[in-house]
Amino acid sequence: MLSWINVKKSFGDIHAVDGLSLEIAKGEIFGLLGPNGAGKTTSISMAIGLLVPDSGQILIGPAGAQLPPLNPRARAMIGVAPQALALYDELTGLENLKFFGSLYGLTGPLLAERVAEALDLTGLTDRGKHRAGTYSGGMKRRLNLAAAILHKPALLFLDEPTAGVDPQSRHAIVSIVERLKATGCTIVYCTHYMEEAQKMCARVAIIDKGRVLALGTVDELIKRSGGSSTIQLIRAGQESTRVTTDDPLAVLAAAIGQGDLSEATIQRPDLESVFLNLTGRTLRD
Amino acid sequence: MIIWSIAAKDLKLLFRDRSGCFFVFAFPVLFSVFFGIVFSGGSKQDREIPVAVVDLDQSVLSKAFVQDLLTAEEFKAELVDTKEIGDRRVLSRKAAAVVVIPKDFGERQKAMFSGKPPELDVGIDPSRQAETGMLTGVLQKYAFMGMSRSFQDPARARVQLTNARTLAKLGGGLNPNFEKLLVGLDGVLADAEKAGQDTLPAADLPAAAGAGDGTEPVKKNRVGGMGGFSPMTIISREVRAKSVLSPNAFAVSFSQGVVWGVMGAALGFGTSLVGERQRGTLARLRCAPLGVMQILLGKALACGITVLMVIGLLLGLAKFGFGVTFAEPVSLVLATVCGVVCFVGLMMLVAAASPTERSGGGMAWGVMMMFAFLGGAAVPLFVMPGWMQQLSNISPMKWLILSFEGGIWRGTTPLEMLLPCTILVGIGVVSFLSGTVVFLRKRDG
Repeated sequence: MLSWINVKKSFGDIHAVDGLSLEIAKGEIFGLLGPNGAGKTTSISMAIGLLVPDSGQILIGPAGAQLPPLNPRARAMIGVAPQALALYDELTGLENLKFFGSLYGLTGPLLAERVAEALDLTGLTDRGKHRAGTYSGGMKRRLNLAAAILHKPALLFLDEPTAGVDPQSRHAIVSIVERLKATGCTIVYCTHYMEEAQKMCARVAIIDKGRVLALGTVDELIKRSGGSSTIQLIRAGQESTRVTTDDPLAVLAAAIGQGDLSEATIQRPDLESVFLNLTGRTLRD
Repeated sequence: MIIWSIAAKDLKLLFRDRSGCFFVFAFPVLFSVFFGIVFSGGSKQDREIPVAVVDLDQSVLSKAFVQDLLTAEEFKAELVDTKEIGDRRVLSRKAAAVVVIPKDFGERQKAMFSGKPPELDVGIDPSRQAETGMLTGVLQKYAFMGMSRSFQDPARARVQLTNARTLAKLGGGLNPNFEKLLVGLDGVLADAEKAGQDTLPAADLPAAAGAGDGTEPVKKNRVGGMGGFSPMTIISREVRAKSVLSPNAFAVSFSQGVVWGVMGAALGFGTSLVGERQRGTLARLRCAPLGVMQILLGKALACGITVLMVIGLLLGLAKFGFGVTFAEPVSLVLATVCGVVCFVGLMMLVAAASPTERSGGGMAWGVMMMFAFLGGAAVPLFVMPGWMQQLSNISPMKWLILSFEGGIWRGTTPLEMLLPCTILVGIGVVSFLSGTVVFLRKRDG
């Protein structure tokens, strides 16, 4: 559905994207992860036609009918919910959606129907007639998402869709994404929340300095780059002990066999471990 | 359809921004009304005034008076052949006023004390009341100079005296003592005439005045101390196109008010485009299946509609609220269309040149204000030094004011609108194209 083929993009001396190659299948939720300045936004900007690659190629669409992002038919397939809330505060939620829908050729009853659907899906029906400027952060995020899905895109880019929202709104947004996945929509999901990516993404690419560091399913990445599990064992009357192992179940079985185990905690590696192992723990600004 | 959607959205945004609406719609109205009231009152300015002079009399005395005006330091006088040409000079802003010397000027001046004093027909530019207010005073000064000259010619002075005595006798006679004084004065003048003490022979008046011989005695004459007497009656009129039925100062101020309105609209939309770029909404528009040109044309359409609305508001208010009548409706339509093209283009240039909404707004306001002042949107051009008046040609506001004045009250024909309209459209097209190129280059920035 979306291919980056050896794509490069530089800004002066900075190589923002350096030979990126990725293939995203139809209907999958693909996690694009990386620290600040890794090249995620540049990669997405090229995919949605806001930037033109210096070299390489980006293609959008089903196999056999792929088009470059600047092609209007390719753009009609795309929905974008940018990280920066791209809304008109002075317009109501309803007016924002009507306007963005009209850009995709939606008019009349169909537009009204899609707007109502999007408001309903994002839980904003009651506030549709209020100005977007009066919305809370979470409501704005949901409206931002609603504006991206009005035209039922085949390919949806979500850039930090849950940034800065309360747990309720985050839960709502994650639910919406899961419902969209059920409709067969292909989703490129950029986030810094590893648990979200781990929960929702079928495959994940971790990129840094414009290159792919790791690509695969979450389990594959954890297995490959997550490191060892840690088991904390507490025996009666003794201090706790921590054991690092690649086979925590075997260690646990052995501890149980010794008979005096009162408590055990297994800490398995997760996507965050993978992320930190691959990109390091140095602060990125 | 998409272009209209973008335009409709921008118009909605404008109408929900109270301060934006104020500067686009209310400020130009307040400006027009305020300066209309100020112009109505008039004021004085001490500047060299461009004046067209028409001598219909062609007498010795009228020629002498013309010569006075041509050499006067207060004027930049130009002799023209007919009243119509003179009026045209005023309508085309080449002169602040036209001074028409009537056919009986010389005869009336000879009989200044016995009949009606000569009348001067002075046609003034309503937008230059300040200058023409001073003009009246200066004309009286030169009238006194002419009178003084006639008294330095004993022969002409005797004629004046004889006519006055005859008229007094017809009216019931004079006080004997005053009669005796006049007889004595007549004798003195007769002796002077015989002795050939003429300081300024009548036949040589024009040449002598130009050479300076004639002006010397005049300098000794003082116009003050003459009580209510005036050697010349000045009948002033406003020079406007014939179709203007009820000329008033608001015709002038609303022409200037248009500048502020369209400037506010262009700046508002220009900076809003920058704001869209900053907020990310522009990126969202560009992700949609529409070309950049459609986005820009949508913005241009909204700006154009707003400019039309503000012009419509001002013209409607001028017509129905302040009794302004339009001299040349076709020219007014031309001015409106060209004004829209010009300022939509400038809007695009503002959008392209502005790095951020805030700095862009400040920078654009600064530049536009400079052009507005230079173009005469606040301070009339005539009070500026000559070099600044020349420099004002680079200001689109000058041409906008000229074209609207042409349509509203100058009665500029559509053909005569060619120059300002070509300049306005030229500025608009060049600005739009260059702004678009810069804007597109910023896409990858």
